[in-house]
Amino acid sequence: MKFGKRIKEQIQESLPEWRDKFLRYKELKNLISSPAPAESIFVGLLNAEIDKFNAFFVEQEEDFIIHHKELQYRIQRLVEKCGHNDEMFREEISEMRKDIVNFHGEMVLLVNYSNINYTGLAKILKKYDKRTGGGLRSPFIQKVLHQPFFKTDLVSRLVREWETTMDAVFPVTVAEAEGYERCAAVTSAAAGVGIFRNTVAALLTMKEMRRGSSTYSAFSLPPLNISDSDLVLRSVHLSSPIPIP
Amino acid sequence: MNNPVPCQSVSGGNSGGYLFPSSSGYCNVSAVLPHGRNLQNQPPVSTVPRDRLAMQDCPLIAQSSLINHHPQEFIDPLHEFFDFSDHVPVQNLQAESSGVRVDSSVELHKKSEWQDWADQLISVDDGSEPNWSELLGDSSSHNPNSEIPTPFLDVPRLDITANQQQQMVSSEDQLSGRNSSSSVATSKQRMRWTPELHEAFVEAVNQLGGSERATPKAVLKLLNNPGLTIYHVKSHLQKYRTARYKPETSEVTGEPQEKKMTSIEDIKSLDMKTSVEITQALRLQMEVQKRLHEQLEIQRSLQLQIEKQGRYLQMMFEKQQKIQDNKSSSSEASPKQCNGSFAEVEVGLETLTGDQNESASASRKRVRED
Repeated sequence: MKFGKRIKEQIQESLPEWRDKFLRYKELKNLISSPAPAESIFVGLLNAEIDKFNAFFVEQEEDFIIHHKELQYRIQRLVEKCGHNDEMFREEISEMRKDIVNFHGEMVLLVNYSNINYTGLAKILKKYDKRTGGGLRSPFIQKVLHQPFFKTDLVSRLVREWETTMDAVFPVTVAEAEGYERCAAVTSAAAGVGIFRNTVAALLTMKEMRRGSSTYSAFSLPPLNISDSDLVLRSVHLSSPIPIP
Repeated sequence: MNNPVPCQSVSGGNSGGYLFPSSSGYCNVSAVLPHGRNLQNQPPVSTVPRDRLAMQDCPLIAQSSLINHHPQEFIDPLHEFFDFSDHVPVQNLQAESSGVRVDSSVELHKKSEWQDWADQLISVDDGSEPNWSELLGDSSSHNPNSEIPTPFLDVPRLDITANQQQQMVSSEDQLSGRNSSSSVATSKQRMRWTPELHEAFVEAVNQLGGSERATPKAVLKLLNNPGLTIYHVKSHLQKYRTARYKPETSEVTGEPQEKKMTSIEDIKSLDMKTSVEITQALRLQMEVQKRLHEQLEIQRSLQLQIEKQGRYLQMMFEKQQKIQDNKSSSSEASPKQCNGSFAEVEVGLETLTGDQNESASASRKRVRED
């Protein structure tokens, strides 16, 4: 029940176009709960879900690749234009920064998308085996590991590239470092929107999901340790009543 | 795996069967069935005994009353084989990103009521003519002056191509047992782009005078990549044009950027306009994103590890079973030995789990040391 709730929350927090692309965990669970779940139907549904993931993931990836290039060009032009004159182009730089951070965020969310769907599949398969006493899970999950949507290496690579670029092109100034404290309140306002909110929700979900469960086994993930980021997360008030557009 | 095969063959109106090629790794059929029309000529694809058959006898009918008696046919002809992982020798790091993906194409000869869900997900194959020569990178169809006489040769221009070719050839091998007049509408293949391929694309477009003037056909010709179809180029060009000429919309979501800018507007409306604070908000956003990504990568590698270990354990158990069977069938009973082996396996299990936990905490440690 925990995962079902969590994935539902994730979906609610996610970007609008993504919302129907996630695993239909609840429906599958209902199927399993029925008196005699037919394997063929179950497998058929899973395969359809996987196709959905693959299609969405690959398309998003393509968009990211295009945008990645465009951003690179943009930065190049901006750097050329600015020279060392950061002051003059403050607004443009700020704009650029925002776009980079948001782009980075979207890519991370795609990786999250992949992961949460994989996790959901693993869980639902486990439930299925439990219900039917079958051995569907293991071979099926092996297949899933080779699916396009699971292979997130390229997107992860781009994510890391942009982290490096951000540090290189937009280094923190002393003034900024001092401004951190004042930022907390600001951040809680910013947190209510789009990507950021989604990201925080994803982190909290992950932490929650990996707390020990009654069915903890050799196949379970160890608990998540993100105590460092708790400091970060605490400055974000997710419960703030800012509606998702 | 000796697990019962989940695929079923049903003799319904079409003498073909269910095919779930995505899962066909554990179905006895690893090949893909072509178009539904050809199914009549195909032997049943599964060795599952009849009593496991399907829909007609499915008790779910009573409960959901959404399932009628007519089986669905899922035909995803090349989906399986355009997803390459272990089958294809990887020649460069881009291999996994360069596969040609096939869109699901499903024939719904008889619609089941509850399949409205599935209907949304499934696109009906338009039934265009099979075009194996194109799929196999037959140069004659695209590039008269091709540098690639056979699919096995590397193409000078793009590293990617070699893998695509290899991948497509492999798929042909796997399908050689069947009627290879595949149903897949080539237009339905999904291409997995890479930054390198995209760069070549941009180069080609620029050579042709820019994204407005370049035509898909011309770009395709310039790219000289057998794995690429005009459909791929066309849709990619469309995306490219959109990305370049609508900078005011968000890159992927297509939402007008005003929405994204709301965070900045919010801040401004709160009278905290200093750019430092805006920057800090962004920095914080970035940090959280980085953290999530970090954790995702760790989680992913753990999940992979778990499955790998699970497989290993299964193997060991099966081996152990075999030993036991042999022992019990032979007249000499050596219970001591059996127990010993069992203990080994159990220790193995503990060790592996221990390793997993160790590596997990090691990963966490690494993270914290950042």
